[in-house]
Amino acid sequence: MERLLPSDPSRLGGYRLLGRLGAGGMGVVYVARGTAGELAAVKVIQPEFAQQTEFRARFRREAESARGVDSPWVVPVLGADTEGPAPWLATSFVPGPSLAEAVAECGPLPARVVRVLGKVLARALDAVHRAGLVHRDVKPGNVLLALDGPRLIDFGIARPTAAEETELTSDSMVVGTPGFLSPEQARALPVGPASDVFSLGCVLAYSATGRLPFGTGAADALLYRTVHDTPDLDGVEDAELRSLLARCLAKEPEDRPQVGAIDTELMEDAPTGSIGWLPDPVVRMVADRSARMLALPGVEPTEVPDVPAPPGPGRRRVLALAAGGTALLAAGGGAALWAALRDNDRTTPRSSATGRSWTIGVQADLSGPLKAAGTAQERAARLAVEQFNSREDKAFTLTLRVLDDRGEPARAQAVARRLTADRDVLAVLGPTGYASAQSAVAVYESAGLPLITVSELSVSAVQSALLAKPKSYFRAAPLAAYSAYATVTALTAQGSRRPGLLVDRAGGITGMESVNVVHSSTHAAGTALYARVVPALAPDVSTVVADMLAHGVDGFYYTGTPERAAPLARALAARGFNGPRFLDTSSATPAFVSAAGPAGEGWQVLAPYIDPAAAVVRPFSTAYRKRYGAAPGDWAAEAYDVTRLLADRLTALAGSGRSASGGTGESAPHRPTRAQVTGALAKSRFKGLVTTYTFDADHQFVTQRVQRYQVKDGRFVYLGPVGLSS
Amino acid sequence: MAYARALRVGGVVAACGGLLLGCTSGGGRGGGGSASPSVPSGTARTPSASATPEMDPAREPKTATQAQALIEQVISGPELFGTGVQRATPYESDPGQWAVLGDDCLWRLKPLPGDALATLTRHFEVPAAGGKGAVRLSATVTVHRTALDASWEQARMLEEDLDCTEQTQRPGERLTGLQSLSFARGEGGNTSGDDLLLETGQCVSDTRGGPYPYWWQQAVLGSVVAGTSVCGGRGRSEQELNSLVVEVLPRMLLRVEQEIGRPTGSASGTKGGGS
Repeated sequence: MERLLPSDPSRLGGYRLLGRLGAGGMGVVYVARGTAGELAAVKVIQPEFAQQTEFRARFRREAESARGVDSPWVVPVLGADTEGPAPWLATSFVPGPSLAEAVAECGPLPARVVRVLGKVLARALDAVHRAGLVHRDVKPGNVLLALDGPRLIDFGIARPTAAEETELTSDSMVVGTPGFLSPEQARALPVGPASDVFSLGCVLAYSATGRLPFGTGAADALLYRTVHDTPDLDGVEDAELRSLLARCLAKEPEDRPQVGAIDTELMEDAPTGSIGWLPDPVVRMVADRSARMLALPGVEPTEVPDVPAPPGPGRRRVLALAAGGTALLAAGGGAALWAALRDNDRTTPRSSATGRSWTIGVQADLSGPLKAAGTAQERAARLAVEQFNSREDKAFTLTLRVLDDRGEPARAQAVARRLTADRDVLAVLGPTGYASAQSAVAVYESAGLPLITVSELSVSAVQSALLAKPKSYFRAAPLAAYSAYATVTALTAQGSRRPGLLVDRAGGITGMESVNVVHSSTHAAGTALYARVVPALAPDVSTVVADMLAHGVDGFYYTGTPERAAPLARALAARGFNGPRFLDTSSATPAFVSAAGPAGEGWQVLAPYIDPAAAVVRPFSTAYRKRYGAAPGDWAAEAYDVTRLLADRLTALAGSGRSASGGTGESAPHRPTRAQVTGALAKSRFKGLVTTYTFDADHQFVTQRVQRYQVKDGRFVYLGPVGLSS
Repeated sequence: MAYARALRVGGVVAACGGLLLGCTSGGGRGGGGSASPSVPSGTARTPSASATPEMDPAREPKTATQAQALIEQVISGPELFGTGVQRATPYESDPGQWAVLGDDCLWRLKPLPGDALATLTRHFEVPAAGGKGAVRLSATVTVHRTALDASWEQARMLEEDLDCTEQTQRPGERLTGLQSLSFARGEGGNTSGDDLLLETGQCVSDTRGGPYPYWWQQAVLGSVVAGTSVCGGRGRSEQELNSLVVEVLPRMLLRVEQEIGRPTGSASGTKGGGS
């Protein structure tokens, strides 16, 4: 929600306006509170439309009809003024995300969910049609998801005909939203209820596949394809649903099924006042969003009559999800974004008329399992950008756009889509870990937006995502395999001749991936590896210790999780085991030290990150402490370096910025393309605090060393870099 | 180098993890170009839409008889394999025995251990034809007493490939260059099993020749372990071999889910994997 502008009225009829929800071609939509305390969305018609006699007559007629629409799935009309100088219409306010956002953020919906949705929307349209109205703009942005079910909004009232639109607005030839328009709308012919059926078909196909049945691109090309091409329904796996959608998308209105028939044909139970039938991530999103909207100033939940508490398990599930939920957006106003997204996709281009900003994106896990690493990186990036912007000789001002993906695959994909869709973003720092990379990397690759991580160091995430070499994905720290290789070398150097590898499957693929490296390198080192693999279901990994020691193991390498490493440390301590003991990077955290207690003493790790307290990165840690009042965490120094690397590359590409000579040239810096940024990164030779950054043909960091730590007196103590070839 | 050997089987990518030392510690797989992935997938999916199935303890077999009945229901016949796959002779293994790998890297048949209720292996082939050699395939389903026992079977298999990169199945029949990787649900495209293991290598036979591409996929779902293997033949591309087995394991797992899964309610969502 945006704040009211000085030019906005403060009251309309019995409604006190609280903020703007959006603005479109026909007028402005406000969120408002009625005299009874109810929340409403109030749409005010622009004066130039209001002055048209014909338009006003139709508005009067349609507002009257709309009061007669009776369906739980359509937002009810609360009031209207059809006679004043600024006519308005008020409907119930729905504090939830749109279907468009749900699909963008959580991915395509399962077939069963699409069928339920189809049933609900068919019923909603039936009610609209029975009242003598045609919606004319059925699209995912006009379907809102509330805690008690979906709602069709913005139904056919106060919408101009094609002729009026052409007359009064210069930038739009057609009414509605390209991609969801019927062929008759595309050709500016008169439309009837069958036109809404066509649009419904588009909405359901989009929900099932995440794609528009006539593709994307320029509006005129889209409209041409809508009129002439066969819809692309290949991604709709449910054959019955596909066949129904194909009929909805028939070119001739009379060949399409009626909404009543669609309702009957979709053999699913219609939901009663809950969203339990939606996938978990969507339910969580609805719960989050509703909670956030109701937390807006002046929006007290106790006064909202249209969010009833439906009985039964659906509600309990929603509450459970809401309790665990946090805001998606770490930076920037979530509600403003919500309003922008909810508004017509076509009317709100992101960049303003005042010029493009130079933006570095950050995709990080700020509230999920890797939030410590993600937060450290985000703060370091912010510091680097602030320092850059404080320089007088900068060629441009950098903007940082931070999005939290929680380390969740669906969210990671949605975040990647948002950042790639933002034309101002030139490069992105992230992601933090494996689960995010697996679903986000492909989005960046197809958008050609450079993505550079310091902490996602697996081989298989990018392989499973791309099956090919990445073009845009850079790793600015040693891959995990280097740490594994160095660990074998260190075990041998510390006297182990029978190294034991304990692979705890609770560590997931990131621990698993190192196994073959360890196997090959022990073979090459001439030592006799003894390996045990423990399933994630096993309650205690230390049950294999006796067997490993019986096989003569004289050194340990554990890959897994910090919590499960602790019992192993205790079991070895109890047996007086004194050989060299190593953890992998994922398990070497403060949680290990505190869980293992004295038994953790002496354990080592060869990690990709430097100690933020190390002398070489002191200029950074000093500035960080000053900025945030605390010491930086692991991975922060690398993120700081990489943000500076990005700024350095952009500055080089910007060309003649106002540089050292202090010249007064005011010529605008040359804005590079994303491809140019990628190219410049690939050729980097940037001296950061941690190291000098160069990349090989696979865009992997070229290095010869990792960093050694050992637990002493209850914490990991940094012992300096270790060469790989020793 | 690290991207030269991605093999996608059953929707999951087996990444060769040995990026420092090369992926070929046990000898290269046949037909190795260096640039592009060798086997495209028929069933690639992003890990987004499907729910995590839960097994229903009340429906899981408690006795050997129940376990055998379940195996009969879920194990693949020729129908889940690709075109041209037929029963081999002998078709079914002795259900009272299973193969155990010895310290000498030799497989021997042993009586079923106490934690397993029943097991069955079926053998298939695509006969030699049109100048191409025969292809051998198999499907195995084992039912354990508990999910924990099943997951230990999976863990043991990972250990075996580290102990024995060369294994002798029978006199004159060897597997070489074996490597395996295991994926938790949600990782690497694994959407069908609690844990999915991919073993890749070559098969070599005194009578049939070789080395030919060989791989084994094995997944755990509750107390059930299901697997399928393929051993190539002269003139058979990896792509062709993949098309023969790509559907088998996911569909056997689906059958398992239908037989002993908790009936799914309306809830469906994403469980993220990984760390």
